[in-house]
Amino acid sequence: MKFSYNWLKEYLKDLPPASKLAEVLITKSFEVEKVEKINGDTILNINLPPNRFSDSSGHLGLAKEISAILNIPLYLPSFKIKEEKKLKASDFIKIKIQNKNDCLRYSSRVVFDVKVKPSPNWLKKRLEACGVQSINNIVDATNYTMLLFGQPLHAFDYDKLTGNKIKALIIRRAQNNETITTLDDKLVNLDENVLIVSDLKYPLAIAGIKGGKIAEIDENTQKIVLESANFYPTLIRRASKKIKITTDASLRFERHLSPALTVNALNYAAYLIQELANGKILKDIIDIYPLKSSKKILGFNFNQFNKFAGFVINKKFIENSFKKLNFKIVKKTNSDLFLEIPPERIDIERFEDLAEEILRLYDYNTIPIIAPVGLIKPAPFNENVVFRNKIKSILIGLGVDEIYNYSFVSKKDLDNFNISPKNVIELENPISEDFAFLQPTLLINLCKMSANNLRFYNDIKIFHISKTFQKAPIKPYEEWRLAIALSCKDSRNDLMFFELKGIIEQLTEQLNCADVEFKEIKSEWFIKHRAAKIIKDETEIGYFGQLTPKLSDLYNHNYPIIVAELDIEKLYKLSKEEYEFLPLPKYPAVIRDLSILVDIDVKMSDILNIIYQSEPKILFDIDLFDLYENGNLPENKKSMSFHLIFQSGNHTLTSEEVGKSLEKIISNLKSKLKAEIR
Amino acid sequence: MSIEEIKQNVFKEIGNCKNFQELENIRVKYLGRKGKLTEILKSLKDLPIEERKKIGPNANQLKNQIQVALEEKKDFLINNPEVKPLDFTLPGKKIPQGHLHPFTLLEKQIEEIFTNLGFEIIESNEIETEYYNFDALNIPADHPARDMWDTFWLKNSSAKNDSLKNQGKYLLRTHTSPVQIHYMETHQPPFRIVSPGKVYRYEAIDASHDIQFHQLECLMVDENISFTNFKFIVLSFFQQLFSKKTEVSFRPSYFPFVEPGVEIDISCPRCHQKGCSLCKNTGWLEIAGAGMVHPKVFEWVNYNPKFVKGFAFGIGLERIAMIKYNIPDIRLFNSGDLRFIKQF
Repeated sequence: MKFSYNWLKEYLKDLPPASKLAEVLITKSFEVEKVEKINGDTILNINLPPNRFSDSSGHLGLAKEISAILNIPLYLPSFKIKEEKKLKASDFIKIKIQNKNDCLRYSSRVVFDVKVKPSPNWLKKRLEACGVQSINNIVDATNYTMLLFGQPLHAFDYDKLTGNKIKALIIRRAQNNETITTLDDKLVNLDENVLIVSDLKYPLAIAGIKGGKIAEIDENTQKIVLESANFYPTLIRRASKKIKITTDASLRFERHLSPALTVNALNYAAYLIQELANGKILKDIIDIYPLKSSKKILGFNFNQFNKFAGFVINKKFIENSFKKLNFKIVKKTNSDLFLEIPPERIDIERFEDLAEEILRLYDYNTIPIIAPVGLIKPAPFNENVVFRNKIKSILIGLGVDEIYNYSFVSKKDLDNFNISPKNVIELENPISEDFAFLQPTLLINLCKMSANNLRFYNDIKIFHISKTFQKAPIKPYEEWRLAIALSCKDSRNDLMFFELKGIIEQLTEQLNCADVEFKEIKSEWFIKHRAAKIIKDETEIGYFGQLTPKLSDLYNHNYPIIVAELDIEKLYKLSKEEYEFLPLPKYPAVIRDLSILVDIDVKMSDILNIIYQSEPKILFDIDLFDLYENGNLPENKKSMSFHLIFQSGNHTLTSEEVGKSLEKIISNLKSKLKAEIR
Repeated sequence: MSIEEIKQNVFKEIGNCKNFQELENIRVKYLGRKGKLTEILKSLKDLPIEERKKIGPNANQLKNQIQVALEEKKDFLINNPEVKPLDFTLPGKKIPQGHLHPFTLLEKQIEEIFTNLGFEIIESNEIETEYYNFDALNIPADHPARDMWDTFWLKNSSAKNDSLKNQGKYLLRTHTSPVQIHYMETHQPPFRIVSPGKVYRYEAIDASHDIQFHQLECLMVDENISFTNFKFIVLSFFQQLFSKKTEVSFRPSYFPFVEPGVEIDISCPRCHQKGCSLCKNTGWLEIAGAGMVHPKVFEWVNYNPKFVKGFAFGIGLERIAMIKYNIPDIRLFNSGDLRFIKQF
């Protein structure tokens, strides 16, 4: 909100230079966003909090605040209005509020014999400085008054109102089929949620938001009705959003102004019109104020304050501060003050609000810094956070880089992955099509990231830990997941598949969730035979595989990409907390090598099963150390070489024992897999 | 192999051998359990006494000679290691190592600081109801203060639960403050908590704004928490995060869920208030919104505001990372660009 330094200076003769003023305002009152010099004036752009519009959105209100924080005298503007002796306003217009909850106060004056003309230069300059366009002396007088008192006003052309001698203004809800053409020639459809000011027939203004064309002030206007009203904030806010019109008036009304503001502002506007347009002010104010608010008295306990502040502030300082703020001390005891709060200070409702006034006037930065006393309990670790951090540390140790990315995906992404949007959470107001849905899997964005990075790197290993989202019957479901992607430009590199498998095995082992199993799955996302689910203790904790070229091509990704996605909560539940020590072996191990020739489609897991079943007792471990295809081998055969490690916990193995065992293994491999021993 | 043959070979072999492994092999070959000389010595007992007398001393003497030669060679190898000169300016072997996202680095540090200050880390959902994101934080529907948080709403998603708390539409939380309500609903003071997490704002994306970023909420509630304590925790945190030299400044601000509400500035950690481009020559950086917990918030969670006091503050973590690591553009965080991440 723009404030003119020159204007403020009219009421504050001792005002320091603008830069100094801005500094003090920032320290004690409001954020000053900008200070700029324009046409011999300095404009302060102030970010007024919504609860201070009532008292500080006008120059006079801000001047009062400045007077309090700088402790400099305030000179109120003096003005006198001359009322007509015979002509009474109420003889010319009746005002009716249909619902007293919609309009809290409606104050009005009637002014005759005005001469509409352009405003004098000083007025034009003031308005311009505050970003308001000059229209004519009448409209400008109402706007100037708003910029001074913070109270929006409106002027109607009396002669344009329906009716003969006595005319009426009715504050009511619009009917569903009513329309209004606003001052800027926009046709607005109204309904029962919009409050209007109408005459006996037509809507004249959208209450608190914008005036209408029908009763517009023009160069022929002679008689005017001035409105200075208070409308229910929520109503104004909803209407303003609905009809998509925001004005200086609506901004103020929706932030809740005090109804106490209307009369002063009304008189001042009438005075200005009297001076600028030679208007004759009719006798009396018509003031409809159905629910008059009572005086607000709040108690302030010194002890309570000292406890809240954490240190003691001198009582004299406190009393003086309240006085400077125009909070009248109506009663005073040793322990308490009773304060009458100025009605425009709608933000002051309770003790904490009063405490804020004292603390900010004292200056937050001079408040001492004191450590809290009381029992300090050791903070328990958050296991989930620790677990995720552990995953991150392990993965970077394995050479995988961590990325962050958006939680959103597009409809096209869902189509690409053939995910039905039915179970995916959609935004009502996405920022763009690309960010329309909440990600049901981390793989989509990881695939994009992989493609982007391959523009700069030949091979990438990335991971991402984030939440995925799904619709669920009771409430939307969110789940922490881990996704890993490996990709490289060497398209022959099949080893990547096993590299990712190795990463998963290493990760799960270090998380004390070792011995995960991999079971092949069929999935349209993945190349046939290159996809598996990851299982631990019969729980599926995730899956991994190589994306089909068709799918990765949709993301301009023309290299093999292997991805995995794991459910972190499941992983957490399955990982054992403690390590268990096994005694070191007492008896030596015996190692025998075994090379076999088998059909190319025989799986490692089948071979392992047969070997372990053949020798359940003394076979300690099996280690594949060579795998060989093609070459001199017969067609469709592969050669596999293993170290078999035999060990017993209770005696030294003899070569006969091991020999027998090996024979049994060989004979089973021969009979069950038609293996040849090499 | 006869003793003579052994004699001829073994010393030559020892002479030619270049390292400990070869030397050990020679020892095993001749003196091991099945070594050539060992075999001869073992076979002595089957020989007639005459021959035994002839061969025995020779064999034993040879054994001793070999042992001495082996020892001497060992000494030689120890004292004359074979070294080729190395070019130390050649690059070290690249051990593959991943990089943590700078945000994770920061989060870990912040969590550590708060844990040391006795704060527990609490997590909460990213999808919230209007009640927790706004109403219970004293931001009622139709209140203009709601304009301070531009919100992403979920489509067709009114909560169906009967309880008042879950009524209203679902949204992506615009701040981490809802965690205050969730936590206080289920816990009694005294407590100290922090809650880091993703938040979302419906905003135009530019170098300093993103639609998705991270905040950290800090909340401390006890019987006698005062404004001076609030300043203590804030100062301790920022001094540990940046440096002992860091100063904090409080100025009035407005957030519906605190009273008094303040904005916290820190002295610019880059120029130490000498003036630089980061602080736009002001010497200060706006860093957090904060305040004493509003009594109405306590009322929503059925605390008696007469008997408990507390403070809360929220900080934007990307902003801190940008300051700390000199990152010029917030969009880099969510870019997934490894050229960015591999720098950390």
